Amino acid sequence: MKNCWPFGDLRAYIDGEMTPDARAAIAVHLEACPACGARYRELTERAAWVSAAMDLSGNAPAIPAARPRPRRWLVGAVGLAASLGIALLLLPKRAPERPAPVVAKVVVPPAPVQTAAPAVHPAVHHAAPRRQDPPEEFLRLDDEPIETATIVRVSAEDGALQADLIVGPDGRAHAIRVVRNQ
Amino acid sequence: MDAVLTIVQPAEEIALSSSEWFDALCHAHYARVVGMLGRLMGDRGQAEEIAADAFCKLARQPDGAGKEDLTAWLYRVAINAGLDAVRSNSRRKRREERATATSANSKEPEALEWLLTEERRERVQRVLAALKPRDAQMLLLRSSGMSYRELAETLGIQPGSVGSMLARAEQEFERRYRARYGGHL
Repeated sequence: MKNCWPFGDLRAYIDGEMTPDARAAIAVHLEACPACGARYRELTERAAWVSAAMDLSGNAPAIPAARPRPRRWLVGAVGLAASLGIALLLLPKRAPERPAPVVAKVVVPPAPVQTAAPAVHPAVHHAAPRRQDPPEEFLRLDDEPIETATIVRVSAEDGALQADLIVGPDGRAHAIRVVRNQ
Repeated sequence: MDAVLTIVQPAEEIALSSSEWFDALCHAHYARVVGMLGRLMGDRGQAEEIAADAFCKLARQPDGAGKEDLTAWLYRVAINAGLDAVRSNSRRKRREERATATSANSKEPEALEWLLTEERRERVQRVLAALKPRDAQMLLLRSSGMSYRELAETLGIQPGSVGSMLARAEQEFERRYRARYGGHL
């Protein structure tokens, strides 16, 4: 018969994915054309069968909202870090208070994910649990694109002044932010 | 100020993405990639691991490529990793061990029912893993409720060809499944 529809269009018709005009035309055609009618039934049955099979396959729920859930992102962030061979340090927030004989002392970043996240990795930033006192944004020191870098915490004046630096592979600092003491 | 700057904390090294495309792709697609993999793996935890890995690889992509290319690329990387995981049977073996333990310790009908469900699911997974990745991807994404427009965007194809690609993928799935396991799901 003339004006038969391609099987791809019939498949789209089954899913309600044709335009209203095309839908109407196909419906009329299916009434009149036994060959297309048979093909339509075959496609419909197969679609239902495969759909049932797919439902067996996964017990994961259907697509949630497009925005990822924050906790998922923590997983993602950890995976991101881990895959690049980073040891995440989960240590106490503040270095212990003690008289420091040396000019600078070791300071441990409060939470690695947060330290790394805000300015440089917005996706992770959304995931970070809210704190009372969010860290400062990084201030870029140049316009060069940063692909990989190391975040280094430095301190001066016996720890009273601390900052995070984003240091590139060439050893130059690309960005800085001041770390406020709690 | 006598600033003596000392490096005090060696290093977290992370991939930094200096533009917004990565963030946008994450927001638009992370949940979907996990959904697609979850349907494939039947295991949300593993799906998340693989998705995180795919986004990791995405983060390392130079952002010169067009966004649409990157979207299709991301899903391709994710589905390939998922299919690899399904093909490697280490996980399946673990599950079988668990299943054996379950059935040995329990005579309840639920245990048997669970085993049958697992077996049926694994059949579907094995057939999916035998398909071309693009066909498997098409079936999984469609079954998770994506519209044709979204499918076209995600797979990097014309909207008009979604119907025929989907129909072919379904035909191929059914043919392979019936050849291996007969017509009953």
